[in-house]
Amino acid sequence: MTLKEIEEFISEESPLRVDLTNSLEELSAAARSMRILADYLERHPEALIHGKAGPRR
Amino acid sequence: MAKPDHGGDMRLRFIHVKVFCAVVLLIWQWSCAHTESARFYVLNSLPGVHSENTMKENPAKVVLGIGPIKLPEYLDRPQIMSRSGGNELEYTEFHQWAEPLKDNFARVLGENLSVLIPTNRIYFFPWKRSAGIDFQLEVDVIRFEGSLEGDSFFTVRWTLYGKDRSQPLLLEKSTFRQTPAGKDYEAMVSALNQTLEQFSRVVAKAIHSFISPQT
Repeated sequence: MTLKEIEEFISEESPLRVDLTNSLEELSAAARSMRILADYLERHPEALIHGKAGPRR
Repeated sequence: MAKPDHGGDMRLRFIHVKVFCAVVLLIWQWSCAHTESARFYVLNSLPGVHSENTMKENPAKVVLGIGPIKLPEYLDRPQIMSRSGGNELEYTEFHQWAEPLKDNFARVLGENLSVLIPTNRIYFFPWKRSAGIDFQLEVDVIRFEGSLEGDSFFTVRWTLYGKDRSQPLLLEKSTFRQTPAGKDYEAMVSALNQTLEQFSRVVAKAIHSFISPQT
């Protein structure tokens, strides 16, 4: 690979970079979902059987 | 003698498992029907679309970069948060943000500013170097919350940079307060929405004060 090819490869418009950014965003979204699920189950483990409890108000 | 005993033991165990499964399934089916469906909320941007006229009268070729935006960790959840006591927060499982609040917040702020300045050239962090940003708005949200009983608050520390990133043009802390029209989540979110609009107006005014002398 020449230097120019490498430059094209990592430039701001390169498809690789866009794809990589998108995948990282997807990954962080997935991690966020897992965190929220774990957080909810930690507080309400019974939700697995009972479903979510009704609103208090 | 040992063989038939073993078989009977197995059969008994199978029946136990079957009964257990049936009971679990029954409870499951009975209870799942009771989960209420959640309601989802979004912040909206200002209704005004920039008309051709205002764009011609005020051809502000401002390129505005928005971000990074920082939100407190306790707001980074789908559940809508309301303050129930001085230091106590309450998350509701049945009233949720339709998308991560940070994304919603950023987009609405961008849309509002694009209407108020007006400009079409709004970029969100991280932008490309070729964007050629004239102004950068850094937002650090300190408080963005309401309560069902009282007012909604929005406290924000914001920094405005010009082309020179090393020296901020403005470094301000603003607080906005809005009394909701009702006592439900819809009213609370709408009040929060209005505080964000107030903030957009303040920022647009500040940016105008920096561009008017040149034009």
